[in-house]
Amino acid sequence: MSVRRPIVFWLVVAAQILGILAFAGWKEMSLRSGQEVVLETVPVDPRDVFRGDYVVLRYRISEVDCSAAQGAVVYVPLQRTGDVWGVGRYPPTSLTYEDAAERSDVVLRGQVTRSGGATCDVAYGIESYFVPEGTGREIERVWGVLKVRVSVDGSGNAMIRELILPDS
Amino acid sequence: MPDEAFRSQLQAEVEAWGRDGIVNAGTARRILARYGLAPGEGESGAAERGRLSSVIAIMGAVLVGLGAILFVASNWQQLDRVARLAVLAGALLAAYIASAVARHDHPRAAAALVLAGTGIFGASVFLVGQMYHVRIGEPTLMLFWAAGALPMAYAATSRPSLLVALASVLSWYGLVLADAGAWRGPHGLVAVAYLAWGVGLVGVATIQETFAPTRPFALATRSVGLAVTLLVLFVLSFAEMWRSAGSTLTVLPDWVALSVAALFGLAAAIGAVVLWGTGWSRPAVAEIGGLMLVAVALDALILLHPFAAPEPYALIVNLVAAATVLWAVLLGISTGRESFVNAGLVLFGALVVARYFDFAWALFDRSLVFIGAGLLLLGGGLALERSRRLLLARARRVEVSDVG
Repeated sequence: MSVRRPIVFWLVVAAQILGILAFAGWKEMSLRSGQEVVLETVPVDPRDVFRGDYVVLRYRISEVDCSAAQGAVVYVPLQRTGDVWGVGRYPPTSLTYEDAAERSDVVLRGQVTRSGGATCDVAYGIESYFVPEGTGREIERVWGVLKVRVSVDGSGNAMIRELILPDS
Repeated sequence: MPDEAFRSQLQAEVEAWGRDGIVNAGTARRILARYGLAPGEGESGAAERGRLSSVIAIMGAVLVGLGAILFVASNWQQLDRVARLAVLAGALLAAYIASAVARHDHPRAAAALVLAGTGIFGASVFLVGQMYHVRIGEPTLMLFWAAGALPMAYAATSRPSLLVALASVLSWYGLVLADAGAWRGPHGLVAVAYLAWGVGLVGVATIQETFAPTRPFALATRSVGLAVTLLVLFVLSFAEMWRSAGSTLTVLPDWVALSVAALFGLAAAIGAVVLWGTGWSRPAVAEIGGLMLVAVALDALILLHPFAAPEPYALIVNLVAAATVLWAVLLGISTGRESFVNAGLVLFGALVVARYFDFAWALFDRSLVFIGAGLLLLGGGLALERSRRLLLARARRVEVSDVG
């Protein structure tokens, strides 16, 4: 190893540390300033629920009516029913945020992961929930009745705030 | 004692002199040995110990980094978010400060600590992602890691950090393709994309050789580019890949095909710049031109899908693979680059074993297949190693006679 110029080396070190802090700061800002919605999960194959220290989540809104191609970015306007949010008025997806925002105040940005005929699987970036080591089994036991509190920013990006277990 | 920057520069220069025929292999070794960079007569033991201490230092750095991250991860719930960030930033800073302190007296340990710092930076990115439940497989985290590792590689002349950066970039692109569904369906497009990365990286390595500050990274970049290209070629050599090509490409969104086309355009532009920059020198034409020919031939097989059955596809793609083995070995001999000879022979061995299983699996009892495979590996491995030594010796003789 040879350091070209110490100043350049320390600038890169500073940039790495600031980068991590900025990443955390940006996520914290999005979490605090976004609109809160509660989404319902649906049961999935229990063998796939808990892998290591995180839970795989699948939502009621993970499968929607749409004809977009696999890999396409779509915007899903949400509608509140009781204390949970679900897919809004038809059509359930739009290709632009503006189009979707005309139909609802809360819009989720997602990516089509499977396109099959009239329905698509959409991933919103909130499909993993990290849990303390060894607590995944407890979550498996109550699987199927989970709700997730999510924060949605002004561009439709979603972040998980917390997992709502039935007795909490 | 000459400083590390001079030694690193000298090593790269001597490698370039050797390739350009200014010095022969023996002279190159004596120059390097004078500055403790290569074993001279009677110095091989010291050099071996140096390499061993480097390996041990790198393993130690990896273990320290892993331990720190595991400690943070297992106590994650007891720490609040600010404390977690303080621990991550502190671990990162500690690795780099230790590296700076050890730089003059223990350069190998300092290099290992830079690698540990690069690893801790990557782990920090993923731990912050975990803190905010960023989904598993999010591509931007890999890109973030690469964006931190690449400047550190150049700032500290750290080849291992460059390898981490390249691996992160290649993983990022793979995850982007996974999000678009490219791994589930038309694997052919994935192969085409990685061929562009392979050719582009070899071109970048040749450009790196022409500038003194980037010269120390040329070998690592070239090795990664060559390895990616040959790995793709090996995967495509299976007859099953015929089914993944052709019409299935249309199910992907346009931006995926556009990104692959842009990658190939970039790789071709880099190749053209290299050829022009080196005055169309024979080694550059043989290296870049040869790789581009391989890539174009494979792209044609995947994108044009010219055969109606897998058998002719398998025949042609294996002929391309055989030609590539020949190209790599001949190029290695004529330019004195041992890595090309080694890469060509590794591809040859892998192809022989794969084709053996293709044919023998359906024809013979499985126990016989495995006994045959064992004998093939034992006999073939010995024969390959003997051929490799003869070819490398010949490469050195060619180099000496060229100079003489």
